[in-house]
Amino acid sequence: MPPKAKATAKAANPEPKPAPEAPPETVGERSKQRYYQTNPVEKRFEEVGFPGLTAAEKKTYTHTNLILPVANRLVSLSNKTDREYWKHVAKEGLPCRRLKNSYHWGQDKHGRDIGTYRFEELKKRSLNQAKLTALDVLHRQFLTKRDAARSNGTELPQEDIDQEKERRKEMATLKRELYGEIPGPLANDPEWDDVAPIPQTEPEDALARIAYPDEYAEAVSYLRAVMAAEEYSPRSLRLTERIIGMNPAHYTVWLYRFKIVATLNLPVLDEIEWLNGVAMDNLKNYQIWHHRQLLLDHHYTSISSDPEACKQFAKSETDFISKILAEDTKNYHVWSYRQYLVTKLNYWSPFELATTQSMIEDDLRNNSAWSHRFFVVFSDPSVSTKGSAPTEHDPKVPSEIIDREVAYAKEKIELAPQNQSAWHYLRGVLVKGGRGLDTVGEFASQFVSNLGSDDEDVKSSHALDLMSEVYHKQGDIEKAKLCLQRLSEKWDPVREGYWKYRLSELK
Amino acid sequence: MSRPDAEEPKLDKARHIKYWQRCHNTFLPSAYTSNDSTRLTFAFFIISALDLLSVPLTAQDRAAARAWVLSLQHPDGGFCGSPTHSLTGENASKGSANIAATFFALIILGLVAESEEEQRSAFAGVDRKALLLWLKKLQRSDGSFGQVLWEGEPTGGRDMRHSYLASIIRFMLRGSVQEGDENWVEDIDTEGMIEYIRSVQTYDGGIAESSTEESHGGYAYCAIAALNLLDRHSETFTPGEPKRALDRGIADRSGLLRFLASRHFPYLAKEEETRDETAVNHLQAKLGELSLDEGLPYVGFNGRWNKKADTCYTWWACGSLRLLDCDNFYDPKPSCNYLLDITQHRIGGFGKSVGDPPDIYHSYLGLTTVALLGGSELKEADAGFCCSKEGARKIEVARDGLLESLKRQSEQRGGWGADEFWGKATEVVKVK
Repeated sequence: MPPKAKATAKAANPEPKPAPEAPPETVGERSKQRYYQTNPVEKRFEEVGFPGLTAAEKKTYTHTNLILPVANRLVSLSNKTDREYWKHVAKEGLPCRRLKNSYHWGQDKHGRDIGTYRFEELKKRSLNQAKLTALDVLHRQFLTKRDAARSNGTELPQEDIDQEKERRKEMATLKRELYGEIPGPLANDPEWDDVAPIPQTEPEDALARIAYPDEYAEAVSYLRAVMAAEEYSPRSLRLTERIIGMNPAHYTVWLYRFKIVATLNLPVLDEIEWLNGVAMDNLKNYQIWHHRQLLLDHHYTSISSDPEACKQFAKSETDFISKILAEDTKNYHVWSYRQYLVTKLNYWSPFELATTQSMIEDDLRNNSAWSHRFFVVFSDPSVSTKGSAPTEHDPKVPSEIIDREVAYAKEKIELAPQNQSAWHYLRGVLVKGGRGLDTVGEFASQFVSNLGSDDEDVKSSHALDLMSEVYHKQGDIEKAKLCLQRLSEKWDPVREGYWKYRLSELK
Repeated sequence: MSRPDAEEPKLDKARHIKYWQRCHNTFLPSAYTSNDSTRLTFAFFIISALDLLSVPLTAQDRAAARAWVLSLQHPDGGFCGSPTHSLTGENASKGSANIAATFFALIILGLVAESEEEQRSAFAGVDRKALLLWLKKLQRSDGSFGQVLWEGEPTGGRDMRHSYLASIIRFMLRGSVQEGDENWVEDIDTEGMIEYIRSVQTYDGGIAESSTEESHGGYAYCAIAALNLLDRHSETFTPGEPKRALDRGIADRSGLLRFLASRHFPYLAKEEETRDETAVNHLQAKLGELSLDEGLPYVGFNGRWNKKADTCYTWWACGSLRLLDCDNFYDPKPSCNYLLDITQHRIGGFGKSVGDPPDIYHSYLGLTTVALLGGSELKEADAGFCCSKEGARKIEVARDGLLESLKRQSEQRGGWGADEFWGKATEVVKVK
């Protein structure tokens, strides 16, 4: 192959001059340009294909693409051709090292191709990466220094730890910015470095999966680790608070927390103060009140011999309970705890009775308050038999108390004759006092007039119900039946089936 | 007062299916994080709702449910409430099993079994002996049950729910094994359980956490169902008991019936909707204003005296009355209408009360109540199990299948007392 011919071919057939290219705007464009710069004729090849190239271009293209195979002896040429070949390569300055096509810059945390970054964006990213690397070096240095200190039985100065905390915050920000990684606050806290979290793992097809917030998942993984290690420490106490903030119904974190309080002998009153805030935020939670009950038991052992301290404590507790009940007057857990408190601290005070009174006056139909009143009156050990069931007569209760409570219920019934709570309270009091329903038959009859006649009027279905029982007891079956019939037909038809059942029971 | 439009309210079955399939197939939103400890409960609601709606699960879904449930089993017996409470490997015993989770785990295993063969082996992989022994440890000397063992002690309130769960778990696993048999496990103290339940009746005939606390429809259901399940057990296996647990465990039956019969009331839709949020008492119609002739469009149920209507109390009250054979105390139609017209939600599921968005708990109990009241192309509900009757039957098949396979295994081991040998061997190893 005479090289001369080529030279003339080149002269006769000059390469089409490409329009001067605009400077690249993005990282990807620059890569592409550099690729073409190091791969002569490649762009033309892409545009027109091999047959479309000029002879010179064809030659350049072929020669360029043969460089590697020839150098690696994948294509064997005769000595002469080989010499010719390399001479040409040298003469034309064909590139021996070329950039590869389609370099991938990768994606950022949003899934955006970094190739589409502008230069300043890439510069910022690279700078951040460099910063992160530098911080990581310092971070490792910290770990090594701390290990060394610990092996000498000392700890690093607080200053170093604080710096490390700052450093990790910075690293976390960088990681989030660069890679969308969200290292949790615990992983960032050198205090937790010695704990290997136990993350919860489950298959993708698990049932009732919850989209846990990252912070919760992280906190739980540390909680599992410290609970398994039976660690009772200030930091694990703080960890329980994190978990409780996100999942107050966690059924063992509370038990664990109590164990920490007891083991570290932390002041119960501080714990209660903290708990007050949690209780206000989670009115319907049961675990909070169980925890409070454990705290009460625990605290009681230290104050049981001091009646004044017990009274003080009962007072501060009932004050808080009143606050909660002002938010939610029928909160079951709160009333349950209140009973527990009264029994435990022997707080059978006139104050309790007065509380029920004022709550009932606020809302005659607050059955929780009625129920608490029954408890306060009939479980007070000074005037009742221990263990006497609410459904049975207790001879120890003084008759004045029975009289007082009967009068109380009657008074409230008169204010609202259809109030279920007051009527059932009245029935309960009579059972406790060993008194028959007939003792209030006349009282009930004031709410019923002209039964069975055209101008019949009933102000209370509960009165009519009670009267039927009184008539029955007195042997007046017909009248007892009439009461039930009128309830079924006219005064309480929603319970027709029940009244019919009661009728069938009359004998 | 009759319903303004004559059209009968209907269960929007397609929407409910959509609602439950969404719960089944996708993540529950982050707001459910505070329910993380009761994921098995939610899993049960999802699987059982799809069962009531006759939506078949794929073989893959059923296998996945089994695998997930069994992964929550605690090595010392029982099931943990969610993966959060369950550990693996050498830490496995540091997890914490929960009585409610255990019931829901067992019932899911039963529900996802399809063929007869699957049903018989539904409890394969359940450590029956460890579970029953764990259950026994949860019982306190007063007959009540705790919800978890903490440092070896039953912990949690003396809650009637725990008595119910203990009774149903016992029913699901105990079976007719006689003392002396290798698979015999010492029973819980059933007499203590009955005594405890008997002791919590309140002055108004209701049932509470303890006899001095406020009576509550949910606790009443749990007490009645706990006793009912003790009876179901003895009916099957020891005929001729002197008196049913249900009779012995209720001190004042007529008081209890009055309490249960008082849980429903005419629901005044218009008034409730327009009234302000903070009111806590139900609205009463003027006495005598409503009569049957005009029809009662809506009947709501509450759990305590004077409280507002709530979807779930329809279940607790109607379920209780069913177990006591007192269905006729209320009219199912207006009760159902309340659910279908007032708390059924446009997107499927049920809310707690008027205007509330649906949540898993109320959606499930609403649906089960509609099934109990015989409505709308749903499978029949079992009042004691709170799932379909078909599901309850599967559980019995599963129990009998498990006992049979245990029996076969011990026969194969022959008279070597292998179990005892290996049991002792592990103890020796543990001591080391």
